[in-house]
Amino acid sequence: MIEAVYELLLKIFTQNPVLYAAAVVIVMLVEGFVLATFFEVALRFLAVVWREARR
Amino acid sequence: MYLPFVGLEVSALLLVLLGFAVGVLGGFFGLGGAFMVTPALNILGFPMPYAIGTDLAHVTGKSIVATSRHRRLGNVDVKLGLIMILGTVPGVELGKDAILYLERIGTVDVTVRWVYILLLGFTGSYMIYDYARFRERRSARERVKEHLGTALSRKICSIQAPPMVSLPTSGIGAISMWAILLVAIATGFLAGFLGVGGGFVRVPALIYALGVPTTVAIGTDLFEIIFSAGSGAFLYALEGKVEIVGSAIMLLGAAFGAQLGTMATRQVESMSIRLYFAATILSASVSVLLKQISHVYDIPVLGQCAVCVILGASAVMSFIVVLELLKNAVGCRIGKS
Repeated sequence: MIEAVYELLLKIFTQNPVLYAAAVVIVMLVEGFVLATFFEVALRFLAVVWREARR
Repeated sequence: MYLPFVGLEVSALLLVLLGFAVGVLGGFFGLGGAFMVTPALNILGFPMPYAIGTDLAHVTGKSIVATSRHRRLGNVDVKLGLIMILGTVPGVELGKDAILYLERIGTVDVTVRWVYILLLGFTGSYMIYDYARFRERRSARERVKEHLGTALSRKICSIQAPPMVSLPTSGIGAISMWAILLVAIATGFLAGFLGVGGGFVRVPALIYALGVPTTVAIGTDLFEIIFSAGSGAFLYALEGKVEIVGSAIMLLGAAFGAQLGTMATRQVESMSIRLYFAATILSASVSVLLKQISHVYDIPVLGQCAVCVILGASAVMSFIVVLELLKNAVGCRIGKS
């Protein structure tokens, strides 16, 4: 299944280098933003848990 | 795990660990980390162009995570970063032109290596000297004075060539925009000439030439790296030299490491950050020196030692940063001076 998806993506991206370049930058930006948001939320949550535990 | 674009079977855990180590250093020092990732990926079997392209792609995402955290800590001077980008772009172009010229006359490899060795060697040694001088000055007044910038930065800030800009985040009341552009062009030139992201030269330049506080220099540099690494990744991907799956996996570890590295900048004293930075760039300089000797005298084992030096130094430095963070987290202040 994964191999088939890889094959398809490889075919599409090999034929369209600009599409691949755009996809690389977009994936990295989106993943970066998602991870930054995730860590922000996680740290806030941990801070709340820590405060509650110390009470 | 199979990486389809480069056609390799590589352990995902190794990629996450590599990302983590370089993420810690990136968040702590404001570096992209190409000096560590490129040889490591190369060892894992990536051809060199793929190693560079994949590194640039993951650095784009990692810098977003680190910049976002630094911004919350008040360490990102967006105005300074944007002006620096304006100067860095033509600087990189000039550096590239110089490389092409040296390539035509056939001395490119030797010149680049020696500039790399001397520049990083000098910068690292100066930072250690600066740290030693700082430690000698025991009185608080003298230490505060030290934080007000270097003689060079005070001279640069005194240039009255309009337009003048104020950089409150960096604690600079008024500075000529031309001075910032000049520093940006110079650092961009060196980045383009040495083929590095620029953090190695930009962070010390922001600290010593513009008088920007260490943590703000790190945060602002990371902000700039988002654009420089992003455009670099785009160009490499156009040639099909980016392994997007590998980058995405590395970014998972790098994002976590960058969080820790960034948090550590709050726990560790500015001058100690400079000392660790100096040790890192000195080891990079020694690594290139070993590579140069191995090239001149045809001793392949020294080339392998060069890779070991840089990877070992990076791993040790990441470990020290995490240790500093943990020490402070449990309330032990041994690492702080």
